[in-house]
Formats: sequence, C-alpha cells, structure tokens
Amino acid sequence: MNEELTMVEEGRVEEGKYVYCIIKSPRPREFGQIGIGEGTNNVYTVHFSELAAVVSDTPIRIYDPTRENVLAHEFVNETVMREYTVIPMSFGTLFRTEEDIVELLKSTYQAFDDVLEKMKDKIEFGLKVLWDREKVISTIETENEEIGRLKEEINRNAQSSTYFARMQLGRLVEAALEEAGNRYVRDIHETLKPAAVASRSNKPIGDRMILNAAFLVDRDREKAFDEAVKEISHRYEDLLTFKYTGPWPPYNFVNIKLKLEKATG
Amino acid sequence: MGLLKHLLFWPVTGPQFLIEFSLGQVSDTVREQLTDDQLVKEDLLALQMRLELGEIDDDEYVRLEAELMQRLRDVRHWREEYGMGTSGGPVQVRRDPVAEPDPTPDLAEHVVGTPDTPADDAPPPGGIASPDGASVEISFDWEE
Repeated sequence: MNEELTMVEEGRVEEGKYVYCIIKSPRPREFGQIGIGEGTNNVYTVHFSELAAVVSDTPIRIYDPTRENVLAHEFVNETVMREYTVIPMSFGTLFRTEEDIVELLKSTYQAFDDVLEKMKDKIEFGLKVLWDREKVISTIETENEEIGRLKEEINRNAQSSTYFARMQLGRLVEAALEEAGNRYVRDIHETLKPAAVASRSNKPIGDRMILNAAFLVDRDREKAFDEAVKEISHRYEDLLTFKYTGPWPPYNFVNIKLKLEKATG
Repeated sequence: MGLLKHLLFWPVTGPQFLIEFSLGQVSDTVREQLTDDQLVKEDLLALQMRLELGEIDDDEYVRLEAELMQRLRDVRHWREEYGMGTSGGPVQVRRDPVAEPDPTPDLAEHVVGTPDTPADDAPPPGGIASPDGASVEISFDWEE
C-alpha cells in the first residue's frame, strides 16, 4: 500500500481544505504558517457572516494520526484558542472546497452560534489517574481487618494453610481493590465537582489507570479547579499518580457530526 | 495481521474453524478482524501512555507508531475493499501543563491525551466532509 494516500486525478493532485475549528470572528484572520502537512501552510479563516472556519490548504489525502500530525492539529487549535472560543473539529477533517465550508457554516449557522455562546469562556482539562496496585494492596491489608487477619493466619501456618484460605484471601483482596478504586474515583469527582461545569469519563488506558476523565471549567474558575486538583492529588500522593493536562478546547464536550462523501468518489 | 494469522495457523486452526462456523460465518469473522480499527486505536493510546510514563523512549515510540500506522492503513484498505466507511477516529495530543507555554513546542515535551469523541461519532480521516447534514451537540453532563 502507498505511504501517501494522495488522491490523484488525471495526474494532478486535488486540493482541499483542512478544517481545525469553528470560531466567531467578524473579520478575516491569519494565524501563521502553522498548518498541518509538509511545507509551510498558512492558517486562515473562511467566513460566512460572523462565523469562521479556521483552515489551511492541503492536498486531498488521509492524515494518519501520527504524533506529528496530531500535534500540528492541536497546535493550531491552541493558538486560535488564545483569542477565541473554539468549536474544535476532529482530527483529519477535510473539505473539498471553500464553497463547501461556507455552505456548512450557512446551513449550521444557528447551531454553531448557540454552541459558541454556551461554550464561551469554557476550557477543558484532562485528568488521568493511575494507581500503584502493590501500594494500594498493602494499604488494604492494614486497613481491612478481615484481610489482615487472614493473611497473618496464612503466613503463620504456611505449611498447613489451605488452598481454600489462599483463594479466599485472593477474592477478598480483589473485591477490596475494586471497592478502593471506586472510592478514589468518587472522592476525586466530589472534590472537583464544585469547581467544574461538566465531566466526561473515557475508557481507562492500560491496567494501571483508574480514571481517564475530562472536565469543563469556566475560565474564571480555573484557579479554583487547579487548587482542587492539587488538593486531591496531595491527599492520595502515596497511592495514586495524577496526570493533569490543559487547558484544551472543549474536545470532550462538543461534537460536530459530519456526513462524509467518499474520497475517491 | 488477522488474515496472516489465519493463513499461518490454518493447518492448526482451520479444521476447528470449519467445524465451529459455517462458511458464511467464517468470512464474517475474518472480515470483522480485517476491518476493525478499534483495537489499533486502543493500542495507539496505550503506546502514547507508555511514552508519557517513560516506559519507552522516543525512538522506540516512533518505531512502534510506524507499525500501528501500517495496521491502520491495512484496516482502511480492507474497509474500502468491503465498501465500508473508512473510520479513523481522532486522537489528541496534549501538552504537559506543568511546562511553561512554549510558542515553538518541542515534540518530545508533548504528551498524549484521550480520544476526543467516541469513534462512532468521529468524522473519519479519509472521507471528505460534506457540507450537508452537519449537526453539532454539546454535553454539560456530569459523568462519573
């Protein structure tokens, strides 16, 4: 298969527009030569009335979600976000022509306008929480009397302790682990809720992660949210690792659904 | 990959396969394996997580990423073969917030976040977006 899935039509590369996000701007804007793809690609706006799509020119092709490509997409959105409320597009969204983009803005004007108003001054933060299973288990062994006692018994009578007792211990530990994980996640949500507008839980990645969430926060509550994250990560610093990122455009809270035509059609 | 495995182990798995499934179901199963990109996307997220946690270095990341991209292309190829939509799915990369804002970000300092929308809703890279029939939704729910 070809590395480069550029669609060639009669020997000529077909040009399209890569769309990063939708913003409200009465005037045309340029954001510099930071567009996705090879070479220098100017990032600029395509308008219908006060709505604008932030775009750059590109050959019509499939962009693999490599780190380099995804970072280019991200970097444009972060740049635009410094000055505007943005509705981010998903990675890899291409339109054939400027007219198509104008048509999109026109036909979805009211909906985009409403969403931009509701998302005004709201930013997203990511929070991933990983646990150290061994440390959590040793905490459980000291806190849970039944488990502590059973473990001691098995250790004391190493020779004679039954298979059943060991099985029993394993089951109890597993149940206690699950309960502890749920308790930590609940506690984290309770601590962050007063400072945030909304939350979304994504599927944890790998077996050490117990929380993979995004939070929507009002800009003027950013400090309060930061403090809440600090507080909760301090509370669990011996057991859990917190990966806190942002601010981001509200990727997890806005969803633009687009119909697709076939690239080769 | 799926097909290769099927062919390689056919002498072993083939007979059992034929007993367990009707021919139609076999081809469905093979097709599912060839056209499902969910696993590749999850592997990509896991790979990015490993880089972020320092379990692999940059070179290793680049090498493994290239393998995953090839798998994605293979899936795309088979989806086209079967006349299915080429579902891609966004993956988003995020900068560590502890780092000071850097106007010219160093790629190595970037870490990776979560997929932004459920794959089913995501406009797949590879298709050209149509100006018609677009919609936009927001959610202000509290999901625990």
